[in-house]
Amino acid sequence: MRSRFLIPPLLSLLLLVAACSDDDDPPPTPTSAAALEATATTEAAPLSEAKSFTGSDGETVILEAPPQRIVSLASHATEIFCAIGAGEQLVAVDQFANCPAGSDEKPAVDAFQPSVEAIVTYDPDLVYAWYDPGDLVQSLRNAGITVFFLAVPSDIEGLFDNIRLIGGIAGREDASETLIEDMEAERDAIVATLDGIDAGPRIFHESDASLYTARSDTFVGELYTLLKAQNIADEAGSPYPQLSSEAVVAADPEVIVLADFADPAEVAARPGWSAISAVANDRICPVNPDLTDRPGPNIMQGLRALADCLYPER
Amino acid sequence: MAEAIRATAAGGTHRSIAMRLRPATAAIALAALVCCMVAGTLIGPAGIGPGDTARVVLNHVAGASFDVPRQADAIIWEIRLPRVLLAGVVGATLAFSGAAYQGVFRNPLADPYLLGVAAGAGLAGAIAIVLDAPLRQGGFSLLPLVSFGGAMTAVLLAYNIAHAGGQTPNTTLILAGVTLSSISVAAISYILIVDHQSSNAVLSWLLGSFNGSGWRDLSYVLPYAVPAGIVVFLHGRVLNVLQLEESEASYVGLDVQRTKAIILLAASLAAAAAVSVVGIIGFVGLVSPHFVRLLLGPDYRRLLPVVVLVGASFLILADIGARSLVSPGELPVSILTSFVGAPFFLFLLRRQRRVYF
Repeated sequence: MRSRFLIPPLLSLLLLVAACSDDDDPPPTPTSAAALEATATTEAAPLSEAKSFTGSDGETVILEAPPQRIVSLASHATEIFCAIGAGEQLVAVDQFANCPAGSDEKPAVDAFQPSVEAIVTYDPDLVYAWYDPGDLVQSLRNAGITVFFLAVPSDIEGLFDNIRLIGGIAGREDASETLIEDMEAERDAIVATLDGIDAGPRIFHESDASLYTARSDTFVGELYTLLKAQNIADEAGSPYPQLSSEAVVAADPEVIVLADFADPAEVAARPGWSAISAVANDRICPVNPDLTDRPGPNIMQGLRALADCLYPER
Repeated sequence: MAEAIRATAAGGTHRSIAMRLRPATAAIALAALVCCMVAGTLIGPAGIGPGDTARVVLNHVAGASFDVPRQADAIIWEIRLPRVLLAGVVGATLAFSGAAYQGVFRNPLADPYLLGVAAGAGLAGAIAIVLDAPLRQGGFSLLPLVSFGGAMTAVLLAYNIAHAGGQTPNTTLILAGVTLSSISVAAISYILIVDHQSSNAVLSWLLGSFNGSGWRDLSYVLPYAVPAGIVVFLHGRVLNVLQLEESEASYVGLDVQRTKAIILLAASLAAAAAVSVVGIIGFVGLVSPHFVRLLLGPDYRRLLPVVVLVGASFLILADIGARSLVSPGELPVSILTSFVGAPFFLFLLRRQRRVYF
């Protein structure tokens, strides 16, 4: 997921193209009346049961009842909605979400180049956004649509906060608390297997075949910190740096984690990489980046996969 | 440039200074290239000492058997040295193909990037990557051929659009090339948007980088670049004649259209091979020939060897920056070539504007 952050600057010039490609499945219901209704809802004085939620952009959303026509522009949020049993409240989701509740069958919107028009035609009573290309959020609000904006959490505690917020919005507070408790228990169980380990292996987390990676102070980086691994990217000057091939060889990682669907055999055959301990000892693990890099409810599966990779003997 | 030839033939002061500089310039350029290569081999994020570096090189080149750490051996011999040589070959290739383009088109702005060659090659390559075409056949990459197809399509289209009445007006040609570039870039951008899965591979390749290059990449470029370079070199005198008006050139017995086509084919093949391996690297092909022309005057027979040396040195230096400035991180090399090359070019233009073109 990280590597796609590179693309928006380039793509922002090309909104028109994206707008055309978004309109494959125009939904049946027209909008204007419902959009006006939504405006009325947000502007009305809060009733006794009305709840308010403040997003990371400082904007507060007031909801009298849990929304039933949610457009989720974030894979991680879609997966959270599904995990707390609110999948039925979604009408459109971004195209990358893996939702057990069957979001595959829902119309997909483009999370990276969302089209305001395509979103409006879904007649949403709430749009969940995490990223704001081309002033999307303001355009939607101008169209009278309630938008809840929440940035991607930078650590697991932040993820739990997001789950709590999403649970509140969806009217499923209990389910979200249960999900958080389950995730905490899973995390603690995995960390408990590492008792007695002071310093884990040196790792290289490959986000992309051009050697983009993540430092410890990132969401995926925290997983490695939990697993007591030493991240070879921590010297780099940005949270998601691109490393020189030479720097990777010089840092000599003991484990290479491929979160980019690269072929381990091809990675081992890269020029000079045979001198890396991880390659010599055949410690190259492919992982599914949807589990490790995405701040959603499946993150503990990602943590488990990384633990299995770093400590195969435990 | 025809004016420049006439002016210098008439004995301008610029010419006489250039003549005195000539042998020294070539020697200095060669020495500079050697220095750049040595620096490129010594400098890098791994911080391997000059002693170990020399021992690794001697082990492989001179058959010595010094004891060096395996890691140092891998870094110097498998990563850094091929990277330096590849940067040199690509820099030389872009430089001579830029010089050939400028000569054929008699246009100071001509370079592989501006005329649609790089964008055409990039588009063809991007399509091949997205379609997951089987590009590696028995250790030989077909990507240069695919890119070459794209490059030639762009050049020939531009040429045919501009060609009328036995002549090819330069302005029309440049406009056609720039327009075809825009179309290719739009198509590449569309591919990046639609195919999220491949977009990183395409983007990294288009931004231009020597990161992760090895001997294999060098072996992909050389079979295309060397013959193309020889063809361009053999046409040094012809390139001089082409600086005259097309009708004048044909009076001296030159088949102008055919000669132009041969030189263009060779220069495009070389540029396409370079683009296919390291992506689109700007400014080397534009700046290097101009820089040398300012020192040596417009004679292509003297110009071309020095252009090659300067282009190679420039790109090796830029690549040292790409892997050292944000160490252990990596910068796309085209950021550096543009950032250094463009201001330097402006500086030269400002200083030499009276005698230039």
